[in-house]
Amino acid sequence: MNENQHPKQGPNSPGSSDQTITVKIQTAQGEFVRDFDKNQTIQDIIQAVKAHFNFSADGTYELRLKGSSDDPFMPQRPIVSYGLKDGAVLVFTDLGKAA
Amino acid sequence: MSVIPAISIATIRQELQACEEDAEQFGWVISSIDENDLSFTVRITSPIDEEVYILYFKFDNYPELPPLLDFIDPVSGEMGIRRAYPLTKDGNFFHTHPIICHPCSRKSYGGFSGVHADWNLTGWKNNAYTGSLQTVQAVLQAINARIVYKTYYHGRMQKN
Repeated sequence: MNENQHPKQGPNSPGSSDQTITVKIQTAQGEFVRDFDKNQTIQDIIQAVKAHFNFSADGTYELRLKGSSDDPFMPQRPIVSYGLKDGAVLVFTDLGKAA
Repeated sequence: MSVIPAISIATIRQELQACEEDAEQFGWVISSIDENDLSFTVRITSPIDEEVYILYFKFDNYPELPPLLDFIDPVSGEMGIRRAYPLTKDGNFFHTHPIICHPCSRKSYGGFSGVHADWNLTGWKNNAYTGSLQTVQAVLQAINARIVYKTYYHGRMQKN
């Protein structure tokens, strides 16, 4: 699925709305909106952002809910485990590759 | 090689505009631009221990050269001392030299701290370690994360 597809509204994905979530990801390169299957992992979101903005493959990144000071999302966890609401705004930060 | 100061100033002004939302969210206090020194400062307060960090951002010859990044002690006003720097749990980004150890920081290079005499100032954006830290916003976000989030922040580099 590319970022322009919206399976919740797509004719070939009836009943999929419970399984997908739309998130907006803010980065220093710009914003990115995309639907994800809730069973995908946080790493899938990170990978999608990296691919979309052509971030370095071996950089150090974190993803967190905007405004949250909790620990960043753990890449291996499924999206659904964080209980994100549809339309959630996430912040993707490039921490800079350790030199 | 040198960049006309007006070009550097215009570039920085534009890039600072992109920082407005972050500044509001995290309480950054960004000074006005010193057009003679070609610099500005950003005051970041850690919500974890209320320690204040003042980042000095000098941008002569920017964006051809990376900025000169340093921290100013909020009490004594001294620059480039350990007491002015935060410490991070995730490696040497805040190197105890003390420098910000990354290609986006001019002090990392030979001729400055010399920690990375193997890096070239010109073409700094092509350094494999630079990543996306090529704009003011990206640089400030990487620094800010290590000051405001307990995941990374480890207090002041030197207490006294």
